[in-house]
Amino acid sequence: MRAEIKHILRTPLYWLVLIAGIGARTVFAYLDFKHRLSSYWTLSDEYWSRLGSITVAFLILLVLIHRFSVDYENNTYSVIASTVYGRKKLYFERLAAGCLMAIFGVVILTIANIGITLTIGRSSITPTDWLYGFASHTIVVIVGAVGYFLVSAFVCDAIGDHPASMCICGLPLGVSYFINIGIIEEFDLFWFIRYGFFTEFLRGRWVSSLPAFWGIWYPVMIVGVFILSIYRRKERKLL
Amino acid sequence: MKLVFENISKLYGDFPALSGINLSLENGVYGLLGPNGAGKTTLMRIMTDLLKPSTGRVLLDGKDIALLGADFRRRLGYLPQDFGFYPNYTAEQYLLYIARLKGLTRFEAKKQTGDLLEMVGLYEKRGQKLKGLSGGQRQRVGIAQALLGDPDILVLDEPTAGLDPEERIRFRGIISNLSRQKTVLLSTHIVSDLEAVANEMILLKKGQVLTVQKPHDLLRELDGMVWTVSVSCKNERDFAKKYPCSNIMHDGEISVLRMLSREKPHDEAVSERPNMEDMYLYYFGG
Repeated sequence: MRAEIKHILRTPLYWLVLIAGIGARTVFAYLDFKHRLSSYWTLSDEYWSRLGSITVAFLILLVLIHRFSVDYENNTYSVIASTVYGRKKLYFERLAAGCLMAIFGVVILTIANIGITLTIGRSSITPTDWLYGFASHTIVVIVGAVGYFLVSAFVCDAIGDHPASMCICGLPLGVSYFINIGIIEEFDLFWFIRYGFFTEFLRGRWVSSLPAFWGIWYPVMIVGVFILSIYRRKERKLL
Repeated sequence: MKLVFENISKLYGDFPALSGINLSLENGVYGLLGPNGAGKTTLMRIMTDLLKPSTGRVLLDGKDIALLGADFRRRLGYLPQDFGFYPNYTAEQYLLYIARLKGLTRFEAKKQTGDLLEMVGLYEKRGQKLKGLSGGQRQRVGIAQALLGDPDILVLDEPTAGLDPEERIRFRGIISNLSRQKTVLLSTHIVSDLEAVANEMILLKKGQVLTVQKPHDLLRELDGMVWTVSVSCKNERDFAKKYPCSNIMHDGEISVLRMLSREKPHDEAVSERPNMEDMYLYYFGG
């Protein structure tokens, strides 16, 4: 697994996405402080609601799931699959490494947001529960990041195509940002898209609408896509 | 060690890529020869447990390799026909990565990587990214990765593709040294490479094994069948139509044809010693 983690750490795009996200956060924090001082701390607490969740999503889709199609793109799967550990062990190592690096990315963004918020807002009084609130959102984001990574990785591994996987996994997530929860009804399509693809988790919130339903949906989705991935691997003799 | 192909067939839809292949391989170098589409790569992929045969199985010392799984792959080194690579890895990084996947310890991986890069003449370029290496250099990295872990079974699909003559000679030397303790299955279109290293030749045509023989036995079958004759350029076409020609050389107004024929094709024809290209033409030509 060390080799897989090293590979991700050596991928410039991983750091580029994080730096871009942190850079954008810095700019927004400065503008919030200058023009919306009264809401500064609330806006910082809601970091995951927009920019943070988008940064994590990009990190997962652009970088972390790519490991699951890279052997098809580079035509290395024959060599890899002919080695002792190039099938099952490598698959699970890549999953574990991806989960860890998704969490690591969330942690980096968390530290960055705290640092930026406190630095820019040092001249104003920090709310006493701000850090606690932000930390509790972050825990939900970590859960969401791991879940979203797993589903996206299984999809990418099953179809062996990174761009297609980004579209399949990114589209519902992207569309969900445009859905107004004030006008959706339970069990309609937009309700499903809004709550059913990790958006709420990545935004630092547990799903509030029918949590029991989603408590079944998410494990079923994860297990279902995992089974698809395993099935495709068995077909290709990669397990 | 014995590798047995037991009634192997592979169908792609209705198309039989391989039919009823029965082979027994022990230590030594086996050259797999056949035209494009004969089924060489399919056979090699089945042998490396990358492709499931439609019927039959491959046995290693009596055990099905599909069931042996990782235990079989521990003894395997494979160089595929289209050798892919991670472009941003250096030669050394790539070999270390593969070495770890082959189960080598960090120390062994480092040692064998250095030794193999030295063996294939790429030690100086170990720090260079693979995308910056030439095709032949990358192919040598491919050969090196197949040799990692000192496998008992080596499957090399077109290993000399893209190598210059000096590199091909070096490669032959490597394979010859290994052949005593290993089973090497080697496919190539460069018949002279096989003549130099193969203990036995497996001729494959349209998914079926034509014959398995030693190279000199194959050549002996062609004794008295290879001729060279010099004719005018005007008559060249008639001869080329009538007899399979392994070589045609032009020297001014004269064409020198090297051809196969059971009888003397021309009064001035000279009998020649058959070579591997003649053999290829005899079995696969036309």
